[in-house]
Order: sequence, then C-alpha cells, then structure tokens
Amino acid sequence: MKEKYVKSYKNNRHSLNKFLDLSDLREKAIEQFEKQGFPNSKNEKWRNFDLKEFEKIFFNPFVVQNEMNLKFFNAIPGFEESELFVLYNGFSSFEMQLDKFKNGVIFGSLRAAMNNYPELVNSYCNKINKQYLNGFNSLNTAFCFDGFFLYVPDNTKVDIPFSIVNYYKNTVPDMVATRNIVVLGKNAEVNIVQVEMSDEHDMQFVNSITEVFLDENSKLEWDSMQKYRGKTIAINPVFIHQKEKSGLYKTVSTLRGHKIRNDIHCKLTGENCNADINGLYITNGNDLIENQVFLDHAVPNCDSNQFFKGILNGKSRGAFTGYVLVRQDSQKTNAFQSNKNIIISDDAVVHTNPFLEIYADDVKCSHGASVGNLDENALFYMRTRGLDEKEAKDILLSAFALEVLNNMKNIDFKKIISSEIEKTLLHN
Amino acid sequence: MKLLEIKDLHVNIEDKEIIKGLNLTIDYGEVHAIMGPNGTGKSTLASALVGKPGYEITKGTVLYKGKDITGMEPEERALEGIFLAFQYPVEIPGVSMINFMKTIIDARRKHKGIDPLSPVDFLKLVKESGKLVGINDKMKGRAVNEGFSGGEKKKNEIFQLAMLKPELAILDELDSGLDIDSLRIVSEAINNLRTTNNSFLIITHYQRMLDYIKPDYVHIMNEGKIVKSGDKSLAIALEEKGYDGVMAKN
Repeated sequence: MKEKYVKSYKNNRHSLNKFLDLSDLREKAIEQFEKQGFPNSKNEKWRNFDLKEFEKIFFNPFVVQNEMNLKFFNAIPGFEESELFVLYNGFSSFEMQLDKFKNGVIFGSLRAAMNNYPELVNSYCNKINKQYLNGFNSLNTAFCFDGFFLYVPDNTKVDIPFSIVNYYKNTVPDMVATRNIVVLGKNAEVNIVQVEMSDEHDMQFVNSITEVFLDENSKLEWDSMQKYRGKTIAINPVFIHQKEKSGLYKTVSTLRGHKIRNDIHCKLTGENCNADINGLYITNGNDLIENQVFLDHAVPNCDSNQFFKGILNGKSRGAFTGYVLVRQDSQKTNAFQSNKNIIISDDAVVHTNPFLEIYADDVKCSHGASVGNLDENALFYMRTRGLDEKEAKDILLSAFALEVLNNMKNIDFKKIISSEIEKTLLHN
Repeated sequence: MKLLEIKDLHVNIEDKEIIKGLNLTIDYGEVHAIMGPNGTGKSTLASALVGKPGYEITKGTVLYKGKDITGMEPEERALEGIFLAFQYPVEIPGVSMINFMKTIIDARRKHKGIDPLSPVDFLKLVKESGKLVGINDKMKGRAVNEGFSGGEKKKNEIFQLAMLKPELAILDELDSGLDIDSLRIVSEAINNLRTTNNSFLIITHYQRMLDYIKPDYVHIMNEGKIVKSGDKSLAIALEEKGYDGVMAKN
C-alpha cells in the first residue's frame, strides 16, 4: 500500500508544487514516508487506535476539487458576526481567499498566502522537530495543497473571532491533506473558532497538520467543535510552540467521529507560559475518538492544565493520553491533568493513560483519571424531586459534559457548542 | 381517607429484613415524629416510602391518599406529593440550584396539566422560599449542594420543600449537622409551612427539634417496628430516661 502513495506522489509532484510550492520539503517527506510507512499498533502511541483501514484501502491523496457547496453556512448560527473562512474538502472554497486587514492581520488560504507572502509563510512552515513526525505527518507534507493561514502581527489585539469551517464531503476514499499555520506576534491576542464536520455516508481520510507559533506575551483562545459524520477518519495533530508569557486556551469538543485522533503537541520554550487544554468526547455506536496531549515543559515557571472528559455509549471506544514532560531545569512548573469518563453502555471502552515524566524537583504536578457510571445517588435524589430517570440522566450528563467549556470566553460560540452537546446527548 | 396508611410493612435490603411489620397512619395536617435508637430502620422507612431502588417491599401495603404506592417509581411518588428531605443531601455538580428548581417545578406543573410558571412568578417563589430558610442569591447560583456546608445542605432541603409544597414531607434526621440557630430557623420555616392539608413525618434521634416543631404524635421505633406511640410527652420521657428506660415499661 505504501508504494501506491509513493507512486502517486511521483506522478503528481509538479502539480502539487504548483498548488503549494514546498519544493524539497515534499521530497524529504515522501522519502521519510517510504522509510516509516503508516504507524502500526505495536507503536505505543497507536496501540488504542484502529489502523486496519490503512492496510486495505488506498486513500487517493491527489484529488482536484471542483464542486463547491456553501449551503451549510446557514446551519451554523452566529457565524455571520465573525471573519469566516471555509475549507471545502481541504480547499479554500472561494478561490484562493485571503484577506489582509488594516492592522496587518492576514487570514485565509495557505495556498494564497504562500503565493503572496512566500517568505513569511516559509519561515513558519514545517518547523516541527523531525523526531515527532510519523508516517501520517510525512504524507501530509508530501501531499498538502491548502489550509488556513492566520498571521497576527506584534501588538495586535483582534476582538472579532476568526472562524474556520472545515467541511468534508466525499463518498469515495480520498485523502485530504490540509495544512494550517497560525502565527501570533508579540502581545497579539486573538480568538479562533473552528467547526470541523463531514457528512453522513462519507468515507474519506482527513490528514491534517496545524502549526501554531505564539510569540512573547501573546494569547490564543482556540475553540473547536468536531462533528464527523459518516465513516470519515480524521487525524488532526497540532504542534504548538510557545514563547515566554504566552497563553494558549484551547477547547476541543468532539461530538461524533468514526475514527478521530486529535494530537496536541505543545512545547513551552519561554518562562511564564500558560497552556490550558480542554477536551470533550462523546462517542456512540462504533465510534473511536482518541486524544493525545504532549506537554513539554522545557523551561521553568510555566503552568499547564489538561482537562478532558468523555461520555461513551454503544460499542464505542475512547482514549486519552496525557504526557507531561518536565525537563531537568524546569523548576516551579505547575502541571495538572484530569481525565474523567462516564460509560453509559456495557460495551463501551475507554483507555485513560496519564503519563508524567518529571526531572525537576521543585514542581507541582498532579493527574487524576476516573471511569465510572452516572452517580446513582444523584439520580435517585433528582427522581425524588419528580424528574423521570431519562430527564435526570440527561441533566447529569450534560452538566458533566458542559464543565469542559467552563473556560471558554467566547460566549456566543459556547452557546452553540452547548446546545450541540445537549442535542447530541439527547439523541444518544 | 387518610393521607398515609402503612400496614404490616416489611422491607428488605439485599435480602436482609430491616422493617419487620410496621404500621403507621398519618392524617392530613398532622405531624408525626419517629424516634428510636441507631439501626432500627428509621431511615430505611423514609427511603422505602419514596421508592429507593434496592429497597424491596416484601409484604404489606402503603396507601397514600388511598392508593397503593408500593409499585410506583420515585418520580411518580414525588409528583403525587411525597417529599423526602435527605439525611445526606446529594451533590449534583454542574447543575445550578436555580436551573434545578426550574426544571422540577416545571415537571410538577406539567404533571398536573398546568402551564409553566412565568419567570416573574418563579423568581418570586424562589425569593419567598429562600427568605424562609435564609438561602441567599449566591447559593441559588451554585451547583446543587456542591460545596455547601452541612447546615446549608439541610437548609437547601427545606428551601426545596417550601418551593414544592408537598402534601407529605418526610424529614430524615434534619437536625443532624445543624447548629442551634440553624435548627431554630429551619424549624420555624417548617412551622410556617404547616397547613391543614399537609403532613410531616419527622425522623430524629433527639427531642430538641420537637421543642420547635410540636408533633401531634411521637412513635418509638425499635428493630423494624413501631413499639410505642404517644403524644409529645413521650419524647420528653425519652429524653429523660433514654430508650431503654421508656421501652422497659412496655
């Protein structure tokens, strides 16, 4: 199967570079992929993920898109207010949409940004340490063609959120390799809201990479909702580089997904950083949703907090791995981690793996994980007040889930996600 | 027809018989107190009356307004007007008091086939009920019982009672965890809520609560049965002579 991807690359390399000129990056990536192949379940990081499709199915990595369908906009209330950018099957839906605002902010298609500001884009593209890249990531670099690009210059605070919709619609097994870059200059502040969705009857492989650069004293609040219907497989790693005093506030709510993998790789390279990462996964049927966080405390005096919750039903599976690395000189680190799960059905399974590796001695680190059922005493208490069992369960579950959104400052988007969560739970 | 008639009630928990043939009749407007040593089944009676799962009624009947409720779900009993103030009120993280009250008030009104309370009327009811037991606005915004002190939790139970106005209120050791001042406030609230149409079943270890809420009847429970019934003077005799002293006369 590996050879098919390599062959497709060789046939299309010129077209790919015409789309998005990465020249030798692609060559190196495909070489790397030839060596690595896809990860397999013997690899510790992939042991809870089901990779068998990649042995059987060739996900065509080079597809030219024509059809655009923007009707679904109306389905997302509250979006009119914000700067909106839509990627349809990975492509900027308005031809090469890219805006440069008066304050210097650049937002839109990565492809267009590469054409207009090649130096700027190249200085932030593919800066990930090679040791962290797996076969999926290499394949992304070899085949990526578009994605979103957000650049916020120094000392720029943007009040209106930037909204990104990733909409996937495909009934044949194609691979969609999107590449996204977010750059915040010194003292920049911005809010990204993102919706990732695919349609029922879909069958595709979303293979993305997002690189995020937070310069000194910048603040990024990034809230996303994922609702992958159909049989979409999505592998969404995010690589974040934080300089001193920067703050990351990220909330990911995954409400549906056949096979979803969200990896967040966050490196704190300057002192007094804050990384606050929250996640919710609601699984049902045969869903598989996995979150892995790697928090690299490379310097002293930084705080990180991971807060993940799962509600699992049907025969679904969930997994959370929270890896915190506190390097030897990273004194005064505060690193906290929590993963709580409620299993509703007899057949659902969740794997929770807290993993703390601490080399400094003056640190505060804690982790907690729980897997359980709904609190029977609370259910009974509510029933003695007149609520039937179903009502009481729904209230308890949604209260459990919504706690993940507590730190969101974008109240409008919080309302949208909350109501989507409640709908999802009711439906489940 | 009496409000509550319990006849020869037997209750098992995990195949162990805890209540062993209990009889009790409560009429509209009456206050009954059940006292008794630890482990005699007082709280089991309270839980069984509201239908706690796992509390198996093996024999006997419980007629509430003439209808046998032993097969009813907890929420059906609640909607019919039975309320339990828990000995250990349960925390419900993430559910604010105010939303919780709104939901349960709506559920009750829906059951009775009446329109939901208007927001104005609802808030008025919340305010009046809160005032009765000294529950402030801050507490109403907090999650149900979460981080409440022992006393606050008990006050919250009576706050709910005031909101819901049940016909039969069972108070399971309401006095435990309450300081003297709180006990007085809560007791006065209950006295305020007494009418000729509602009744109270007070479960307590101590007579002190009965100084504030004057019961019409006092029952002594031992080994799963009511062994002695009388008026308020029985509670005073208990305080003086202890359970052994009072029951020895039997």
